[in-house]
Amino acid sequence: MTYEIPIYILLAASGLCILRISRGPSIPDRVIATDAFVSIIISIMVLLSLETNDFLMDIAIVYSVLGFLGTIAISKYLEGKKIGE
Amino acid sequence: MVNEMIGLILIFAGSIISFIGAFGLLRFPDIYCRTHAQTVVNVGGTCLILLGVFFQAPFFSLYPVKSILLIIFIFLTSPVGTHAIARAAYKSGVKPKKLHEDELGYKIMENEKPLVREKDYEKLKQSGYRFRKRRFFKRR
Repeated sequence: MTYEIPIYILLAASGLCILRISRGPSIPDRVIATDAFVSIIISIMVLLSLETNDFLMDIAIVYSVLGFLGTIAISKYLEGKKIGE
Repeated sequence: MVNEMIGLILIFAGSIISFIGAFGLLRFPDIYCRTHAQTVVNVGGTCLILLGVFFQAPFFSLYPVKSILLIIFIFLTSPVGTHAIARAAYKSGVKPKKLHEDELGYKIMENEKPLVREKDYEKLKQSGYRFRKRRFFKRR
């Protein structure tokens, strides 16, 4: 396991993101912190997929798509429009 | 051997950079500054780690293809999401802390119908009012 130290550093970074999510003063703060949290979890998944099987990489691709769609949907909701506009 | 060394260096650099970005996400005072830190985490950290995986993985497999695909996808979608959420934050009434000139406020006031009457709006605009207050956004 040569990837232990980067995974621990990334876990500490995700803890900082969770702090910002918990005490962000407004909604866009929380959305931005959630986006950073999603990308950190993606990099942890990619590092774990080097050790174990292949399928965690596919889960990382799908998870990045889901994070992007969540950000766009919440920003549309905050602007007061519907999705198709 | 050289490939594995390059991959390890890239993975360590990416993890440290994403930790710095997450620390900046706590320290910056404002949303419009925090978008900068979020971009550091997205593009700097994750793309460096994916480049490291591209060097580290065995060459004749599907790992390098998938990592390049993820890098292209993150480069396409990260600016779109940040731009959309910053614009939505402005329109929902969150103002920046130190603001000298509010050009997007002028544009929104010119396109939509303002709360104040038009004479008052012209008078305010001529007297150099900067639209710092939130009372123009009470209509929603």
